[in-house]
Amino acid sequence: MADNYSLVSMKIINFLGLEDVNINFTNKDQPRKIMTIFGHQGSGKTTILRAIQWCAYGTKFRDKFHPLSRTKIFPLSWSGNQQGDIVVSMRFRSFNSIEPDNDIQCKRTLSINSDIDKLEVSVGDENFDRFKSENYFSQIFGKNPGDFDAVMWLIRQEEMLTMSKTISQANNSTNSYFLNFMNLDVSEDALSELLNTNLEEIDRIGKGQGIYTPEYLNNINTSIKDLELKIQDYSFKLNVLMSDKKNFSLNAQEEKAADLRESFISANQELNSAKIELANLKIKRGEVPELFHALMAAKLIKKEIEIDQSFDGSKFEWGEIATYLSKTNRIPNQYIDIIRSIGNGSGYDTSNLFNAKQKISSWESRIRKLKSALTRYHKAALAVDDFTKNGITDEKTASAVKKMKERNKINEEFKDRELEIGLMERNLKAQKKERAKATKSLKAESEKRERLDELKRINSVIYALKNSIALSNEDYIKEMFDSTIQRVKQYWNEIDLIGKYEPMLEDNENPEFVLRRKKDGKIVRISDGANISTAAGGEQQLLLVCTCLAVSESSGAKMPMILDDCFTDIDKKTREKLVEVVAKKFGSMILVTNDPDKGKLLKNSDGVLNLQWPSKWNQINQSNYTEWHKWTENVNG
Amino acid sequence: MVEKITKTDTTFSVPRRISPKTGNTMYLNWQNLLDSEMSGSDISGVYCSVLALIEEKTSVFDSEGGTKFTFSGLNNKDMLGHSLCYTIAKLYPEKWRKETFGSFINNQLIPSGYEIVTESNYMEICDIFLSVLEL
Amino acid sequence: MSETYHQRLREKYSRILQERLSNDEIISQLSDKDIELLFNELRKWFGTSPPETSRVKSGLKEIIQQKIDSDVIELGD
Repeated sequence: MADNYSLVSMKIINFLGLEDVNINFTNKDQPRKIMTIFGHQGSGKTTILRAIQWCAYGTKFRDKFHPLSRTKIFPLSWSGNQQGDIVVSMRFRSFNSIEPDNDIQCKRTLSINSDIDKLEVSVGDENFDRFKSENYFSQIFGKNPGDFDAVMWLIRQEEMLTMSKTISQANNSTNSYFLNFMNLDVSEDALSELLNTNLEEIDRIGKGQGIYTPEYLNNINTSIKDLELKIQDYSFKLNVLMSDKKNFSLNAQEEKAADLRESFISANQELNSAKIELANLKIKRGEVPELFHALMAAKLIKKEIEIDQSFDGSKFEWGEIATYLSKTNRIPNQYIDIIRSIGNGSGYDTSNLFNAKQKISSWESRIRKLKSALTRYHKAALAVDDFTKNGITDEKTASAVKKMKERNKINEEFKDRELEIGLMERNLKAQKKERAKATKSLKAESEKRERLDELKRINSVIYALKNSIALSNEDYIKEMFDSTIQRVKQYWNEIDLIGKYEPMLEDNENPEFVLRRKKDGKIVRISDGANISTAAGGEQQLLLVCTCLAVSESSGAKMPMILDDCFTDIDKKTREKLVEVVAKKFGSMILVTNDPDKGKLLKNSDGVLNLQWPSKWNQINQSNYTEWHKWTENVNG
Repeated sequence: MVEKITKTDTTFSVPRRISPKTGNTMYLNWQNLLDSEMSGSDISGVYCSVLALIEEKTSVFDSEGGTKFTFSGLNNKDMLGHSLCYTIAKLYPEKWRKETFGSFINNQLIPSGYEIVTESNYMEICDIFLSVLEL
Repeated sequence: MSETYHQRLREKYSRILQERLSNDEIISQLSDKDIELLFNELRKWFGTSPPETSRVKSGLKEIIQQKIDSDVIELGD
């Protein structure tokens, strides 16, 4: 981007009275840096300036009384209704360039059915979009002035006072025109965008807190350690049990002995029981005679031999007893005879045999039971004997069973331990998995925190940059304000040939330049330019011009400086000096005037564009525009 | 009435092997049918005799001597001698004479009975008893 | 003149900005080289019409996020 541009050409369609015109500002294809537009009132000079302004800043849609509001730029013939597109195209060339290859072309169009106008900018072959176009334009023309603000590169009689008051606003850092040139908005916007992007990311990262904490991880680590130790301990105990298992293993014999313990006990119990039963049933010594009697009695009965009831008569002396009894005379004789006869016979005493008949059946039952008991006993004794023959003893079986119980206990314990170890190992695996998860999460959290810190650092740099720019703006404004004040004085000193007054800044809330009469210090204020009528009228106007020049200069405008009939009250010589100084300082200048004398002011001008608009013409178009504008070259004063 | 022909002092004999002190325990306790061994030769003699009477075994054996006994003790308390003699007299009346009863008991009954003792186990002895007790 | 008025304006602002940057509490923690990088990137666009905001943004972003060492910045509370 260059710092100074010259107007190369314009094309105007339906803008006020200019229906269809092409204006070429070049001389032998080279742009004219210094030129005059000369024409009487109503010749279209102001229209050209307005067209330039409209192309630069667009339609003022809000203020319908503004000269550049929509209906105010319609051709009169439209009677307030848009009847076609309004188009103004301009072409600029930078001071550094000779060839048209890098010319800037801009075209603003207000279409008939559109609510907004459209700006198209291209540089060489490159077309810009709307934002880029407006940005580029703002560098050439400066920021779009507010409805009541002045245009920096156009010093116009009626707006000079407004422009000069810009100086008092210049100290306002939010609205200072000093900053327009620097175009810091783009950088500031870029920084703000970066900041917002980071803040969004900070916000996003901030959400979704992790559920794991370092304490939790520590606890898991401790738990894992404990489990591992416990597993180790249990495994050791398991090994001990393993060797115990070996020690308490039973050989085949012991296994057998253990298996047989129960039946061994049972057999012995049976034997004991059989013994007791037998003992109860065995024939006692005292019973033997009764048994013998029963047996003999039974034999006799079986043989159908009746048992006599006989007795042993020899046991007593029955004869003597009879004799004695007869002497007593108390016993009848028949009985005494019987008694005597007892002594006569001596038989065997069969009383026991006889009595034994009653016992036969009980003995039969007894003998049967005894036989059964003996059988039982013998069987039990055989069984016990069998164990003994096979080496199965009480001691052996008892010890085998004890050993087996021990072994089983060990086996149980072994199994339980194995299970426990299994459980613990599963638990350990799960905990390790959880630990990995927690570690990963904490790492992610840590990374999040790192990123947050990084973003915060970056943001603090961005904030610092923005702050630095803001503070720099304040400093710059102050310096520019001071230098602008100086420039006003410098311009005055260069241009003022009378030397009666000197400019002075009244330092109050709204600083304002005033004229101070050198001889007595009298202060002359700049009144409304339209009503200047005092002796210092010309000086006042010059002061305004100098102020406007200084303001325009410090705005950094890149447009050619346009002076539009702004020194009607300044004397000729001073006028000449003014034009000379401006042309020298600004490099590119357009002087617009209806005064032929002023038209000759520009020495070394690149030409004068003469405009003539007869009253019979309602508009300028292809049919008459060449007649309307003619160039005069190399005007000398 | 059966006339007494034995005297209390008539001696009989049983084989030594069924006599207490010298005899076989199993014979003496009737193959464990008794809770204690027979206490006297007289009881052993009756035992053998009763067995022989039940089985009607009266083979003739040569006298081999043995331990002598009488019925006196038996008669004093249980009249076993009487019962035995009566039973013998009723079953073998032709043998129950003064001249033959001694040898009948010593050479036939007691040895036959002893043979049964030596050849029988407890079950057989029980069966012998039961064979006669079952009426 | 070897230097145009516009160039002088840029120089003036550059001088002011440079001083403000080196006096800033945060920026001064960066290395001189990094401060110069930032300063040059901003200065690129003084008094010009940059192609678009996104290009300025990406230029600044590259410097701020990748080229300068912001780890030296002490974070406050």
